[in-house]
Amino acid sequence: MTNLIKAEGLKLRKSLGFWVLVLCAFGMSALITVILKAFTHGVLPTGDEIFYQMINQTQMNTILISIFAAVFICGEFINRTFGLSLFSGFLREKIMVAKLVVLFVGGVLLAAIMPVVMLAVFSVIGGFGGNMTLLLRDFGLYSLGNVTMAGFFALLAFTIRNVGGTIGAGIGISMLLGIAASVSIEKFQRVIKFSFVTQQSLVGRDEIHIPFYVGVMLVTLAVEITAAAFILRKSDLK
Amino acid sequence: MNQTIFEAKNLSKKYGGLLALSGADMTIRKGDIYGFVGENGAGKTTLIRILAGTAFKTGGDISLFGVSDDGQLPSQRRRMGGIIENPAVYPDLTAAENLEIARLQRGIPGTACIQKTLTAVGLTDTGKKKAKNFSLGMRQRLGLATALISEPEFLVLDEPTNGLDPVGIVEFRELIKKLNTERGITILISSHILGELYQLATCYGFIHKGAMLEQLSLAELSEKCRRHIYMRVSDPPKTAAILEKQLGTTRFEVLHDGVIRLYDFLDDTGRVSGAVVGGGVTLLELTCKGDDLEQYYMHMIGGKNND
Repeated sequence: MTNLIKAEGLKLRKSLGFWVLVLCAFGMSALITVILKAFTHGVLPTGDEIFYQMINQTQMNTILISIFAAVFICGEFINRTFGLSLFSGFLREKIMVAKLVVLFVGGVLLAAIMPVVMLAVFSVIGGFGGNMTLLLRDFGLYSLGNVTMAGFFALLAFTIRNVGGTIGAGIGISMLLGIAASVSIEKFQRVIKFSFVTQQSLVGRDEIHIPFYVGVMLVTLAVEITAAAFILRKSDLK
Repeated sequence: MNQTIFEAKNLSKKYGGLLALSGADMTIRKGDIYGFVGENGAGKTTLIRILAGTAFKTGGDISLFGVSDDGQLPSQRRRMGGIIENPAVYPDLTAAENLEIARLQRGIPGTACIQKTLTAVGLTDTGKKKAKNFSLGMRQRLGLATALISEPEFLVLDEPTNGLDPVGIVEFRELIKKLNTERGITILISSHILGELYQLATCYGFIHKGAMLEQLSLAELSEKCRRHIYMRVSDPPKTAAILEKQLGTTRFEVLHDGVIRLYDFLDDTGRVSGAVVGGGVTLLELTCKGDDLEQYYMHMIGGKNND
């Protein structure tokens, strides 16, 4: 397993798609900084404020992680390299777990770039202005949410095995869940609160119930991994 | 008897309602270069995928290095390497980087094996060129290098010369022979280019419409392809009786469409035709022939097609 993870780590380091996404995240951070400085006349947010604005704005993470998961996983099926690993005597589940470990690390790093860069820049410009312990706790919760999101996209990628299809389906489902979370019908809210998208949008807000948040994320992650392993175990590969 | 490297017994595979393999048997022994012959869609790649673990069998059994337990097969596959259809490579990486991934995955210590393997397949000058910019021949070599880096005992090559130019085919063939003779690697090589296999394989398996028709050694194939009198007659059973009683030979085969292959009297066709016609059989055709692998296969599947 360690060998497989090392190999996946090398693939991540050499992945052109990953580095393009990293560049995009830094580019977006720079763009938002410039826009904020240009249009907020002297009243810039503090580092803490901009950090929470960034982590509550989940569309960017969704796009970054969906593209990363699609390219990182579907590429193995398109290039037939997943089959090559099987041919080399590795179990499907082990190959999948190694892939997921590195996907989660890459996904957390990608999603962390914008909030962390903006936090640093705006803390220098206008001061930090918050509580570091709370911020670290919320960053941990945010990262757990991103791991669950990466697991969701991984499940789609292992099932669809097509880059465009994975990104399209992933973003579409995430958007639907996001819209559903904003529907203020009580009966509906009772169900949709179990969605990881709903829970992730609560990070940094008073409404969040941390044990419930962690429970939803971990159970969802376990379901995603089990489902992906089941699909891989049952299907023929090229 | 030599050690059996791979054995399939009554292997079958269904894709939905389509039977891709039906009761196929295959035995590959240590040191063989096994030529797996069949037209496109005959079931070659399906069998190879089951062997490689990328597809699941519907029925039957396989064993690798004497191990047939499904749970133990993956560990036996570590002793194998191969290419299925197109070589599996990471297109955005160089040849050395592709091999580095294979090395890390398989836990091979040290990086010396990378250069050694690239030299063995003739890919030393590719430098920083990415695999996506390689010619098909170079990609085939890289695929082979990925298979060879862990020094496999059993190499599986599915249509490895597809798309190669004539020079590339000759070089690839020489490389395969060298791997077999110098390193003692057992090789399964599938192809529908029969002339290519005839120059390489030491035993053969013929597959058609998912069924294994015949497995035989090079010596047996040469025997079957040897010169013979080809006769097409109106009454094969009666002709067979004439050959046995009047000419005193049993060295003939009765095939489909009234065809008989006689391995005696090659220099005395007149005596044969005289006996047959004299026995009241209409002789439609008589000629001296010698099959090559292609003709042999065509006769074989011709017979099957008429079943």
